[in-house]
Amino acid sequence: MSILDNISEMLQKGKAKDVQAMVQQAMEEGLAPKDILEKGLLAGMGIIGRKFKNNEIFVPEVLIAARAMNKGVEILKPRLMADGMEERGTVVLGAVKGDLHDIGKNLVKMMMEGKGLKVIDLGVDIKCEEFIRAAKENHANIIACAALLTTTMEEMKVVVEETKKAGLQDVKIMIGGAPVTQEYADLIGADAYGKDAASAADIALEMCAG
Amino acid sequence: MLQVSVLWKNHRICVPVKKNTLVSEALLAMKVPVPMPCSGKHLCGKCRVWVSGEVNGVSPQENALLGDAALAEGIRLACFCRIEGDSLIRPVFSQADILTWVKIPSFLYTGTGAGVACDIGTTTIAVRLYECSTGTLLAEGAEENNQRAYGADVISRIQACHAYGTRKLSEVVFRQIEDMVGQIMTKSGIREISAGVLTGNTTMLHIFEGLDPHALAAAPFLMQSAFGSVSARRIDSADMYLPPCIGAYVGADTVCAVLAAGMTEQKGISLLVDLGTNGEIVLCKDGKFICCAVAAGPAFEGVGLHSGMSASYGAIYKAHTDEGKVSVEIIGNGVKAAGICGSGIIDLLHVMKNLGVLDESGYLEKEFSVGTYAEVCITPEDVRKIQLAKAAVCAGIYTLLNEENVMPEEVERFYVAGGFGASLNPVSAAAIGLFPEALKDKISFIGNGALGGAVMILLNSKMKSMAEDIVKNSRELELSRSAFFMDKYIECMGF
Ligand code: B12
Repeated sequence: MSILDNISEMLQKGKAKDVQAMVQQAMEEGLAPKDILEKGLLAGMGIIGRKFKNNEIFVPEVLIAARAMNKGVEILKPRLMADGMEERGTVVLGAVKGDLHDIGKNLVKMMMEGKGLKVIDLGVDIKCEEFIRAAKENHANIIACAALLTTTMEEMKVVVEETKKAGLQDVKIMIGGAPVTQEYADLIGADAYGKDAASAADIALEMCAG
Repeated sequence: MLQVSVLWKNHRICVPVKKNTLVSEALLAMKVPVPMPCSGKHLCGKCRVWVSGEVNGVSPQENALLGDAALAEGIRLACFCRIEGDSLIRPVFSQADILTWVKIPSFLYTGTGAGVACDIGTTTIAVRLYECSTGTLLAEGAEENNQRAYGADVISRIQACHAYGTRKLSEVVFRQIEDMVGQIMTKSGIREISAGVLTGNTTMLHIFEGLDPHALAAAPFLMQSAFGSVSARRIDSADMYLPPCIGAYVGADTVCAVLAAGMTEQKGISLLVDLGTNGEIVLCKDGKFICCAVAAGPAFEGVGLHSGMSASYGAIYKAHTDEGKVSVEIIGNGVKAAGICGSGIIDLLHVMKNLGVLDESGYLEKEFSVGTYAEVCITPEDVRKIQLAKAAVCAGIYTLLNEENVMPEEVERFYVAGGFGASLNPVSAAAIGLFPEALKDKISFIGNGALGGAVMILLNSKMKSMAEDIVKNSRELELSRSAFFMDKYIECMGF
């Protein structure tokens, strides 16, 4: 097994220390940081995403794997920056006003990062203006809103409308959370809906690409 | 061997039994349902049967539970009555019995006249009619809340208030309660009531009073009123007292359950969990209360699960393994299982864990069919839903304990209220991580705690101020921003 496969394997098992050590070793062996990231860390996170989607693993395993990934990324980051990391896209993410649920949103963040996207996580209880301001400041491609309450879900409509009004035509709006459906997304004119964290990341990557 | 005949749903079932067999055992063997919310511990008086033939004498304890009138009609309790010769048995219990079962401490009766106690549950409304001076239960009833047409949980009811007007939903519940009270009054020949107590969660009380509940639905969760006052509406010209609420999600129902558990009277550390849709938890230490709501969702009521159902006929409510073979117990005359209710689901997960088909992380390869009932099964998705719900309860408990620096071992009494009745198996519940292992031997079931507390307030004038004291000495912990809760929540998801 190559060291990159090993990194992926250890990441899937959530072994942060091993991931850290092997990323270090791979760098010392002279592998390209970009390859370590993509063929090691992100590949492992991709498998985690698929397994989560298929119900083979659950929230805790994803969180542990994501922590291991972050440990690896930490080591790579200075080198990636120096090499001029290729930008795949930027997402501004948050739970809407009145909503304090954040587990699902955090999973979405991890999966998006696992696809190499830059995620600006605003946190929970985020007012519409805050989404818009952050999108402007960070030249985001996507505003992603989460809601877990059927009441706060209605706040997403406000975000869609206000973003249009603010003249951010190029910024796409993506929505998700347990009570949200594709029909609801269509109804309020959101650009995309993500059923689960892995799909959300796939769709976001696609939207950023074209 | 003796012959017993059981009259059940137009059938006459005859079986031989040994002398001194308990009626409850004989009925179970015949797969005739016996509601025993107290699991046959001689506490609830619910397993009523009409008996004729040779049976044992009535003990004072059974007499106290049944009352002289029932005894005179030939009614006995299946958990007490032993068969001594050929006899004929007819079950006389009903489903409402489980929902209205309460277990409350003893106290003095200070009231006069007839009065009603009512719990407005989001799912079920339960009422009891009392002779207040003697504390005699005259009649009781339970019905599904008619507001269910407007959504299953409190959040959807609040939205319905927005869409159709609070008045509309208020009218629906008011009429229903008026009707239910009317029925039990007629049943017991009571012409007039002079007092009443209506409890419920904060949203249900808002809607009953016609107060706009919208601010309860999103952060920062503001109440229009914390109640602890007499309702603006009367039922049968009697004033209705609405007990006080602690917060938007820890309502008068929880305050009443604390009363019913007798936690105010005790020294030391006690814990209460009300396992309804919302899952409220209260920890009592040195006369102070700390509480939270964990939003577990309705999974334990069977809602949203492939074969989930309420604890009614046809529901698998118990399961265990015998040398690797799964055997289940069904409510009803057992020909076929229609689904699984909360306590059955918890037992089955424990069984699956023991059989090794369910791993620690909650991974289940394919659906687990229950014995011979192929269509009744637990799916991998069901397991995930249960994980989210049970971890919320368990993490909520740990968070309160942590806040007060208490170890689970130090909790002296653990009260469980809610629809489970006493059919929840503490061993299974602890094994799947619904609560910390150390609590399992300290458990006592109090049934519908909200209704129990309302009864106490109705029958004793001091209880109102006790309820107010509970609120005064309570602190609600907001879990949404608790890092400790989040860590524990994830940690508690495994099996
Ligand atoms: C955990 C939990 C809590 C925790 C939250 C902890 C936290 N920091 O997040 C606590 C206890 C604090 C809590 C509080 C409340 N909760 Co709560 N909670 C839950 C619970 C049990 C699980 C939710 C969860 O985390 N699911 C797991 C994640 C992984 O799933 P998910 O969020 O759906 O995410 C997936 C997808 O939806 C998608 N996704 C998620 N976000 C996004 C975003 C985008 C952009 C995309 C594309 C995709 C996407 O990807 C994720 C992974 O695949 C549910 C009930 C249940 N069993 O589901 C109730 C539930 C959501 N809560 C509910 C309620 C009512 C509340 C409260 C209002 C009241 C209370 N205290 O009981 C408060 C309100 C807090 C607030 N203002 O938000 C109700 C909502 C009912 C309704 N009709 O809306 C539920 C359904 C329970 C119920 N049936 O009563 N809750």
